Amino acid sequence: MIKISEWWRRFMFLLRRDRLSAELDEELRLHLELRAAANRRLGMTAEEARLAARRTFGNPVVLRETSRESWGWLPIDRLLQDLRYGTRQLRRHRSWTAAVIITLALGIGANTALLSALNAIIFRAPTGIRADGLVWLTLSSEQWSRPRSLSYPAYLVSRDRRDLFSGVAAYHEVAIALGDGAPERARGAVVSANYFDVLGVRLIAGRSFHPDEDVVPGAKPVAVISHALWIRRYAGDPAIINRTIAINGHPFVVAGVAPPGFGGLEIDEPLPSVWVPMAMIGQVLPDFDRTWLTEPATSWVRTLARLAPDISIERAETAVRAMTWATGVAVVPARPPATLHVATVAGSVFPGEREEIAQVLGLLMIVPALVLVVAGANAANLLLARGVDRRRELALRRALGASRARIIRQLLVESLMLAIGAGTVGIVLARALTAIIGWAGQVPAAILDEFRLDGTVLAATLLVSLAAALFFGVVPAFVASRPALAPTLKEEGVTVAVGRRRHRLRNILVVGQVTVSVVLIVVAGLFLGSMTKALRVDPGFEARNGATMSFDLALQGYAPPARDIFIRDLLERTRAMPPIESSALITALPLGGRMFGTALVRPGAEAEEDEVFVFRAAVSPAYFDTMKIFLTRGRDFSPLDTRTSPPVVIVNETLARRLWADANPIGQRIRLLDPGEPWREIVGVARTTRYDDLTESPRSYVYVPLSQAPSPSLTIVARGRAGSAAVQSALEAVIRSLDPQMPIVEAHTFEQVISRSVDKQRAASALLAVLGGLALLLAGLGIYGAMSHATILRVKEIGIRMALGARPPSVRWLFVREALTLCLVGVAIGAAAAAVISTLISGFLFGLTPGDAVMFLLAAVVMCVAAAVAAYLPARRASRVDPAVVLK
Amino acid sequence: MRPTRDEIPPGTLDMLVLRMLARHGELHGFQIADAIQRVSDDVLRVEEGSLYPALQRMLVKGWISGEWGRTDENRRARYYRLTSAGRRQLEREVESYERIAEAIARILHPAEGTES
Repeated sequence: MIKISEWWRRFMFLLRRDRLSAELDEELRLHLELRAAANRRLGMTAEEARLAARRTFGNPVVLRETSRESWGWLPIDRLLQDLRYGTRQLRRHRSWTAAVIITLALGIGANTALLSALNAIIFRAPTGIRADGLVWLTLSSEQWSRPRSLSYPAYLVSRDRRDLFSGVAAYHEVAIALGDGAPERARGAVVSANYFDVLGVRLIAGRSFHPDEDVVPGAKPVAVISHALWIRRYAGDPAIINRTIAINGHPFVVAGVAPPGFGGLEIDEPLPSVWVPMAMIGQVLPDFDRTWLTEPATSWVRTLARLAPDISIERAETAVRAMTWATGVAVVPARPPATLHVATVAGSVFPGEREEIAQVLGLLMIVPALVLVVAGANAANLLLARGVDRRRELALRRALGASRARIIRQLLVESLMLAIGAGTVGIVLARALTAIIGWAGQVPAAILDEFRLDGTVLAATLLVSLAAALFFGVVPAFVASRPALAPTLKEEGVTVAVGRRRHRLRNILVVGQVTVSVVLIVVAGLFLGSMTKALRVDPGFEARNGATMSFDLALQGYAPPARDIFIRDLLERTRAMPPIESSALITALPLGGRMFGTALVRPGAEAEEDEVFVFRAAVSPAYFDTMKIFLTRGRDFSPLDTRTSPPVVIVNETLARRLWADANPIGQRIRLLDPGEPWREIVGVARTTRYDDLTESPRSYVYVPLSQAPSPSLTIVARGRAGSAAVQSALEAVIRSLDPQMPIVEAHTFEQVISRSVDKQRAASALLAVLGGLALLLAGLGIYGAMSHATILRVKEIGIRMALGARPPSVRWLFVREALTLCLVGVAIGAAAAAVISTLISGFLFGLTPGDAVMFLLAAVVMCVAAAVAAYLPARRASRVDPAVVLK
Repeated sequence: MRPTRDEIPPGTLDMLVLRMLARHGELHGFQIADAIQRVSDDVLRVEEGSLYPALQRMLVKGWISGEWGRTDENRRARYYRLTSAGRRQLEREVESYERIAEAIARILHPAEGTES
């Protein structure tokens, strides 16, 4: 063990080492002189005495080195030396250095970009929130694929557990119309009064909600707005507090402003920009229904709890699982049996989605990882190529006494410097890549902002860079330091006889590179193909020339008779507008993000286990015509289906097949298990469309006439002859003419509705397209570099062949043929590996046949063309030169 | 380039240096080398230069201290002397050296006192 006093002395030695070195030199000199003098006294001549003294003394250089070693700072000295030497080397070969750094930086940048997305979505706590001790409360059941929000009664029960939680906050996000006149569509949330306090969010202006503002429904219209909204819409007005803003046409007083970047706990587009007390839900949420407050099966309250001091997650979990009843009322649904759970707050997604996204993103990480492997292989090739050029330099250094370990270390230090350079450039590139992906995938800026770098990502990037340095640096260092001294020093440059072994190594590298590149291109291609297919799925309705607008009549205070008049006028007037061919109303737009689930029974099969789970919507006549959803049997609803006429229903094909197989369902009777629902007769069968998600498996769905199941919260759909923009403005004009104050909650063309529902897939496919292009570029460049270098090394061989009478075309063909052979070997191995991988991941790919051959073919062609060109060009150059010049 | 003569085991050199300093009080490098060779009757032949790394090491360890002074011929030289830590170290080394030497001796001459 080394004592502190010794460390202190070592430190002093380090500080004064220049002087100490001089002193040591002086001592050695003195010793030599004194020994020489002693030798002279023994009768030697001056010259003999001096030489004898040196002989008995030993090598002063080595002695000096060992002396310094005993000061204990030699490793640092050597490292500094290596760094200086490395810097000189890298600077002397600028273009080579740049090539290595940029190649690696592309690989590292791709990884960093995806890692920062991964980090933002599933690891880092959301911006502005104190995450330690904060947990989600969720409701899950074995029969659900993912956890759900709590029911209101469950929230109330957990809120009262002061023994477990120091605070429980709740929220529910809603689409809102913001401002007077022509309101803008925005996202907001109704929250419990303690929302900001429980989350640990510090408002930058004003105050959060008082407890009494969340008690009496509709009594306290106050709001907290987001920093972004404050800056954008209110120009950062310092007098924003107590200003009145309109939400869905209702005046709200601004109480506070949230800190920059805070947008709730879920990354979504758009981020919420307004928060109001939950007691105001009736004013901001059009289809709010008082049964939500008592029904344990209605999951709608996102709940967050801060653990009380010294309550562990495990204890909280055990406690909440036991919460099923409270004062005689069920708080969780009995069918299917569900329980409450605790989940940590990590990443900006609700717990269930986290696993799904993590799985998909984790899988996607294969692609940038492979890009990095290809980039590393390229760098290794470049290093190897230069290692060959450097053999004389290295041999000289070994001859001068450097050990092989020392040389390998020196080469590794150079690799490390390259890696750090590449890491730095890679981080810059990652920003650019994120921006490109964001642009290509139309990812909203607010979400891109979340994909920023932080300590975690930087550390990961550093690790990746170091791993890359080891990966691409070690083998070339060993190879370059290997050659025996004498032959290398004697030979001038590289000859024909450099040896089969070196060729073999390079051949292996070329084949390996082709293999990895093929795998990479195929995997990226398969993902991309799967995503594009998902985007191209037929939604089941016609997407062109259509537009939708959502509004709520209850919000504007329309009583039931006035609602009917508004609806009648709306449909009549829109149909009279020239750009509009047909229009209709629906309560839940397909792919609109809202689904109403219910159960149905048939006559004679009304027991619980006979219930069939379906989704439902109420539509006006001409809905199927407007959406161009084909009715395979029966008829559409008509104006003759009224409140007083016999109740009717249209089912989709999936439900019809499920319940009646191939029999005709027309005339059959069903009853939906919603309050007040009568038995209905099936009058039509509609084709199954996509309802919630483009890639969903077919769902059972029923339509009831809007006249027999009225709702104030409606979406109008309209189709025209010309463009969807014309239809959209015509719709807006009609609604404004009917009621200028009517808040339009959402307005989209059909295309937008579809594309919004695949936002994430589109972002992912943009990412893959960018990375795939990058991979293709890197692979092509890598093959070209390795191949052309291999050819250049054989220039002498070309000269000999020419001197022996070979004709230029045959020499060129020889080299191209060799390149193609290597390449085809690589393609074959790569294709086999890719086939295995694609079978492994086919479960995650949508609409994919693992045999998708186009990608394999494309990969093979790109590789072979690159290899052939890379062999041909140098061979042509060499075969044009006079053999005498080449061989000299 | 390897020396063919017997080399001193590394730890032994330290001990010899400490011993010389203990006996003579204050010596510069050349005197130490000279003294070692004289007392060991040239049996242990130092590659003289290797003395200096050893001196540096012992300076760092704090066993010896160095002070610049003048030789009889009025040349600048660094004189080394034992510190108290060095004295303790010497005792330790002598002790362990004797223990080992004794053990070796027992192995080489197992006769006295034990039955075989």
